[in-house]
Amino acid sequence: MLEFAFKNITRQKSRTILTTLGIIVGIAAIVALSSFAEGINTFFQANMEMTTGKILVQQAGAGGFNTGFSGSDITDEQLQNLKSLDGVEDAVPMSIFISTSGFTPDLIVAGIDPSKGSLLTGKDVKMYKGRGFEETGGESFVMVIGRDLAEKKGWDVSDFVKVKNRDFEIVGVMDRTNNANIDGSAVVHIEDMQDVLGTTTYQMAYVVPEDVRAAETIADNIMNMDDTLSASTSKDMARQSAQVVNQLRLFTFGMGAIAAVVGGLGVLNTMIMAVMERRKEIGAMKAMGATRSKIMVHIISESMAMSLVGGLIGLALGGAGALGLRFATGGSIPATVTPGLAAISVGFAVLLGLAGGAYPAWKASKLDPVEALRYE
Amino acid sequence: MKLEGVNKYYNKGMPSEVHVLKDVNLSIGHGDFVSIMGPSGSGKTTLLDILGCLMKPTGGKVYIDNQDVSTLGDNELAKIRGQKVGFIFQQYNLIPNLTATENVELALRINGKPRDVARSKAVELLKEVGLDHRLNNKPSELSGGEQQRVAIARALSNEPNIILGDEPTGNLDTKSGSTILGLLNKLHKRGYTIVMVTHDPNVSRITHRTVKLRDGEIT
Repeated sequence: MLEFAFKNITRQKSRTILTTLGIIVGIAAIVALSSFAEGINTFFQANMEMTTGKILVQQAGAGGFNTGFSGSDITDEQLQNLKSLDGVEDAVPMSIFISTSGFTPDLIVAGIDPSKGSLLTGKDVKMYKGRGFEETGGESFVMVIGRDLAEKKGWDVSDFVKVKNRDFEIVGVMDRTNNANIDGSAVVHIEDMQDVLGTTTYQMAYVVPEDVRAAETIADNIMNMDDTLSASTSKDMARQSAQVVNQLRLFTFGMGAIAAVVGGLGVLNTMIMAVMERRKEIGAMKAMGATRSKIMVHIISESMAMSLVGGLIGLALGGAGALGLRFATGGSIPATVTPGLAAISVGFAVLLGLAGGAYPAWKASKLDPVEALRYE
Repeated sequence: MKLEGVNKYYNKGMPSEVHVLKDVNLSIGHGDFVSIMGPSGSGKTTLLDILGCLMKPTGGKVYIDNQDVSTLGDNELAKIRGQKVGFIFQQYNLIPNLTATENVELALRINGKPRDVARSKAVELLKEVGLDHRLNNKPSELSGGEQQRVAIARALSNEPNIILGDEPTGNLDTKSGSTILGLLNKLHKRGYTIVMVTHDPNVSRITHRTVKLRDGEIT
């Protein structure tokens, strides 16, 4: 009987379109925002991978990623003080250069000591082409790039990349690590980065504790030792990123609730009108032998069919939105529509149809067949 | 079919109470061809609705195939309508956005027939009523007579014992009306029990028995 339900939704095309529009917009927003929230979560998780067990030290009050870490200047003396703290294995300085295209990051270059690279990545990165970063000790103005960056820019080994009027030669392309921070970035020597930025200081330092369980204590000690510095452990960062992600998820939930009300009311209104207009048909179906439950199933199938169509279109539009968000952030926020999200979104749309169609279906089932047949 | 002491009130106990049927006793045997005649307001349509289990009497008993249906619930009555009764209405009551085939198929699907069986049976019935060239046309593309033939095919779809017609030629011109009556006559010769409400003596002439109703009583 489902095919009859699908036929019925094309009876009043403009009314069906308007009804499904509410569902389409709601589902598209939910899909796009949810995938963005999960993309943010993945971005933060990738960062966590790199910083687990380590302490990020910056100038207190300095800007973050969005300001290119401006205002953070850690001196060599401060770096030595960090290294000399009890329980500290090493303090690895790093500076980052970010160029933007419009509002999105176009190129992210990290300057670090080539011998300390794996301390930050937490893994031995294999090379897709050319030489690894740790093999470039003693060289100047050389660069190793991630695979995603190479593909995005069409760069290859022996190409030259300008970073603030300085040319760097690409000597290696890293193999894909599935960490957007590594795959979408470039690394150069810290001294060359200081040259490019025209400074002798560092934007940040990663303090590596001898025992990761002591990270919180060491962070406190750093701030006690030097109150111009801020020290965050990966736990702190996890807490902060969880807050951001949870707020996004709450926002998405709120959007979902609004979509539920708007979409469900739209379906309810449309189906009430449909039942009123089709009283004679319902009467005829009862005369043919349709029981109350069959009438209810017939009406609810129609509302669920309408919502299913809206849900599928909303899913497609939301997916396009997620792709757009991914593109807008230069790929650093991997907004993706997972199969689970797709299933939940479409399932939610169908539930809206069920909720919106339930009351009109019940009313239709209770129609007196004689009165319905004689209705003018 | 048998009615024993059937009474029907509308708005019983209220100032607008109407006693539509008064102690009606009626027997319709298997294979009968009966017309019910009477002036407007005599209760003909109400009598037909009770015979077809579309409505329950206020008092008295209704038997179909020796089963007392007067106290059955709505769902049980729906099942009896689906299995034993075929309706033909004056205004056809076809579903406007379905083709002729789909209109007949719907009746079969409502009563549990699978899709392919329902489809082929619908086509077969429409060919029987002479509409093999109209299978994919919607009601708006059919003449009144053709629409009524679709309705007859639909009424026959679940192989009912009884066909009930409420002014089946009331909306048709003379020629189309004759075609429909001819079809009903043919069905009767095949053994169907047919009961028709009509105010047209020409229609009642083709039936074998006429039941006359006045002010809710059989005269």
